[in-house]
Amino acid sequence: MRLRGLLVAIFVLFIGGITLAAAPVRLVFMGRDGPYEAAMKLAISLYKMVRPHVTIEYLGLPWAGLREKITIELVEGRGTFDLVILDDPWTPEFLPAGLLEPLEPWFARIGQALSPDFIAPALALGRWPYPDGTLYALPIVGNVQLFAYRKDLFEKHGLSHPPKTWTEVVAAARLIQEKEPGVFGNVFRGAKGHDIVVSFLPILWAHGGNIIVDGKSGVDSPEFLAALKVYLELARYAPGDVGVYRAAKLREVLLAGKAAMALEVWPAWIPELDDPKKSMVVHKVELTTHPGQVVTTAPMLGIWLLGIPATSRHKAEAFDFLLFVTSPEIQKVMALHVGNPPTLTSLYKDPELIARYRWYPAQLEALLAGVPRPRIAVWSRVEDILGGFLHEALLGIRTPEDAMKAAHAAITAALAE
Amino acid sequence: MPKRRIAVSRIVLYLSALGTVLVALFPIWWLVNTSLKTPLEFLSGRTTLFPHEPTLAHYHEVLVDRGFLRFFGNSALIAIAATALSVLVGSLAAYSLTRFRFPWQLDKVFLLWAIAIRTIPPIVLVVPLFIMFRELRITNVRAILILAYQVYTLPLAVWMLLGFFREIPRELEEAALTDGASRVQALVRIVYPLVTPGLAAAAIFCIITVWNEFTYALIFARVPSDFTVPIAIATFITEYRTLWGPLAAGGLISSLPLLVFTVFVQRYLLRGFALRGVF
Amino acid sequence: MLPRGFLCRGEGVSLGSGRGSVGIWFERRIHLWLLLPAALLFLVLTVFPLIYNGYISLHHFAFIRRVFRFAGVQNYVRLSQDGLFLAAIANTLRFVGLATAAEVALGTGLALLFNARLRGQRVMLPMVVLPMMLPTMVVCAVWVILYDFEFGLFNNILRSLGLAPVQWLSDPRIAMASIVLVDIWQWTPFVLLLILAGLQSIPDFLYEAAQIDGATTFQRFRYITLPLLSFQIKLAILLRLIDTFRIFDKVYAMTGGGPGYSTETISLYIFREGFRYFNLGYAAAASVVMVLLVLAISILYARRMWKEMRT
Repeated sequence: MRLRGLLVAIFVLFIGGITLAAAPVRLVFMGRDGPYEAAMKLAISLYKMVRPHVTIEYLGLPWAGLREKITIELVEGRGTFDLVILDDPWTPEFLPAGLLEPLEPWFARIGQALSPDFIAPALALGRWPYPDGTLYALPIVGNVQLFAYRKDLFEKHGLSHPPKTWTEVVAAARLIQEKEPGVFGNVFRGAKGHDIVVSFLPILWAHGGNIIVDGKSGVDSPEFLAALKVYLELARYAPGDVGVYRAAKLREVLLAGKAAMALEVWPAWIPELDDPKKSMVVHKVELTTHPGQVVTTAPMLGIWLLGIPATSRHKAEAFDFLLFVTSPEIQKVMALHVGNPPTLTSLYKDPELIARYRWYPAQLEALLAGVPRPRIAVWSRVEDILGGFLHEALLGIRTPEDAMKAAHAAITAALAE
Repeated sequence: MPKRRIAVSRIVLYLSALGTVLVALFPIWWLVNTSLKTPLEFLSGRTTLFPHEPTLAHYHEVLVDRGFLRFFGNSALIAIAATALSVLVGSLAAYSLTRFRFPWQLDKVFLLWAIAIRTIPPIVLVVPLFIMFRELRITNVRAILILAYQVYTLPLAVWMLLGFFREIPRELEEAALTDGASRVQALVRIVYPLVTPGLAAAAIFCIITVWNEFTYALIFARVPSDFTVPIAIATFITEYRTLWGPLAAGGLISSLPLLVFTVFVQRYLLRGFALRGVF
Repeated sequence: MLPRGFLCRGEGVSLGSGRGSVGIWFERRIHLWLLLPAALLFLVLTVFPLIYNGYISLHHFAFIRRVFRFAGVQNYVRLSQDGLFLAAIANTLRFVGLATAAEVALGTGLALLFNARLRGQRVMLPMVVLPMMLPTMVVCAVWVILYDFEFGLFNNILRSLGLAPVQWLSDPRIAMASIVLVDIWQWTPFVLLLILAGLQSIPDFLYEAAQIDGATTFQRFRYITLPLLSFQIKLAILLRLIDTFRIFDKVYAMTGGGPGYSTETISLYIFREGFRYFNLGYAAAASVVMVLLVLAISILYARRMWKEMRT
């Protein structure tokens, strides 16, 4: 069977690799729960076959409190973890603080070069200073925003192709909402803070705007205002309390068939769109890269990386596992069996994977064009500030111009500290 | 009084009680409903009294696939131990505070400190507690939690029991003391049996507080076998989705032990079981 | 002059007889011994963290970067100038007032109801108490769904009655009230149990004697129940006051402080500063302010309860 063939390949590759002492070693992996846990546990069980003396204990933490726990452990814990998962927005805080082990010396030690197959924008996130400094972590989950639309509704109302610009998005939303009862033109997440910012960024970037320009606030700009006005226009064709929508709610509305477009879809949800047990829109939703405006497309990256805490006592073994889990064979197995999005370019062109996941070409395009959130240490604060003012604009508490100016002033102040 | 008038007021009372039960229960009905619905039926958003296609899959997932029994064991052990500790230590303190005078206003200071503790958002104490347990080389997660939870439960126990101890007339102990009993004997044989409603109420609140606690349980956990029930339930709410079926099932299952405990302890709370008055 | 009762317990309570000298030494200080375990636990588990907290509130402490330098009262000054912090205080006080008043009033009423020895009481009581046993995460998840504007139960009912749907969580004017409602639903059972325990402790013979003397239901309530319950009611108010002050979970899960800043609370502010930005010194200062604020309220309040406790 194919899996066995893969395993043989893994076996051969790794048995011929570094010779580690055969004394039993126990590694502890601080990771996430859910599909990520399934993927990592699969990799861990395969790893056990090639390195029988290494036991990896996996801690699958829930999303609630994940960042807090990882931060406290990294800063105050001492050597209790050997592998830790990171979300890309955390890297500007963790990496400069020396909490993770630099990886290039380890590559040198075993005489192996860093694979050029890694998707460049994803790999760059593990470097500090971004984008070409010291490497501290390798990407393991290739998450990026995608744009979803109801192909059936588009065809029904004479729209022959997915929207390529945001102007087209607004037009399509207006058209379908007027003509199709019970269906909203679009849906996005507008909850105050992180959610509204994340849904707004692709629109902002598509219009050529940016939050941080040359280390200073770039919010007060005509591009920002244009993007904000488009966003507010789209809100008119979205559910009434989209201002409290978070990702889970967005997903449910899409799955329930109540929206013609979803401004933001993540790879983890896509398989269930066609699952008749979970979806009311089976085979009706198509995925594509985000529309552009001034720029072709600019979706937001949400890459998960794997690093080794600087205080780990088993760095050699941890590094070995790191190489294992980012190898093409294991990434393919994780993609095939659990749906984990790979971080290697070649896998997105693999015919077997494309047959299983037809949106992979779109996802590759999105990843290569993907934009990360600003790499500043105070991004959390800036995101909250922006998220507050955007939210007020959404609810009509402030005019777009007012919200923009106020956000600009507050962000400038935050950057100055 | 005329029998009719009694009946009317009685009916009003019953109706109010029933109304209260309905208000308390309707979100819980929603949870029960959701825990038995297939994901598809949930998505359709139809409000029905009972799902059209009920399924026990969510309960299976919670209990079997996710191994909730292990987490129950953790939660139960920690909750009972922490509550027992708080109620015991707290009752001793409450007794002492209601019976004696203290120098330098120590009693007032103690009680105010207890209140002050309760006002702090628990997460604020997380970092110093984390460091402290690490420096003291205490690594057993259950022991850490039993101690850390005293921050939540001890002030509650002390303040609640104050009122109950205060109501016991001193003459009862006086009588015992003049009969030759020691203070401790008087306390155990005479006073404690009389404060059982208070002990029961305090125990219920402490257990509920500890059972559903999330922050400390997450931060101090080392490996999945350390998880308590709330952490396990939290895994149903992820970044992008809420697994409503298992969440509802898990939430209901989680409150079962507490419910059983309340039913059990109810007898100490409600009159009509044993004579409470002494005279 | 040593205060009376320092080395021996005051108030003229007699010592047990026939104790050895060690026993007498123990008995004389028994009040201190009884208090010791609790005091010890407090000392270790709360004094250290709080002192640590106060200490770092005087520093600029960027946790992740391990930057720790003395800053004097800078954090406090910054707090006093932050409009968001002041708004959070105002919102918190509003929440506390509404929630505490409603819960204590409702809970006391319900306790009286359940004290009336109705049939089926043993079954109804656990049911009514169930809300406070659910994990808060689950409670919030349920109420968010109920409050949903487009698809939630409440608005569905309103629409079917021909009324306009309400923006429960996205209207700045009522979002806070919606959250108060959830808290009332969840925590009124707490007050109910507390008061009920107190009611059940009142000996029957008092009521019987009063009835023999010809007192009406209302008179029995006013002259027996109420005075004996007053401590419990005051305690319920104090405990709810303090607990509602800490409101965090519900706001975090349901509105994140929005819409606008109408549901920002002090705890949310502290959480954000401390555990989103990891600005621990500043967060510590905010929590010190929070503790002082609540202490001020509770001291004023507890003083009145104190006098009662002594009698």
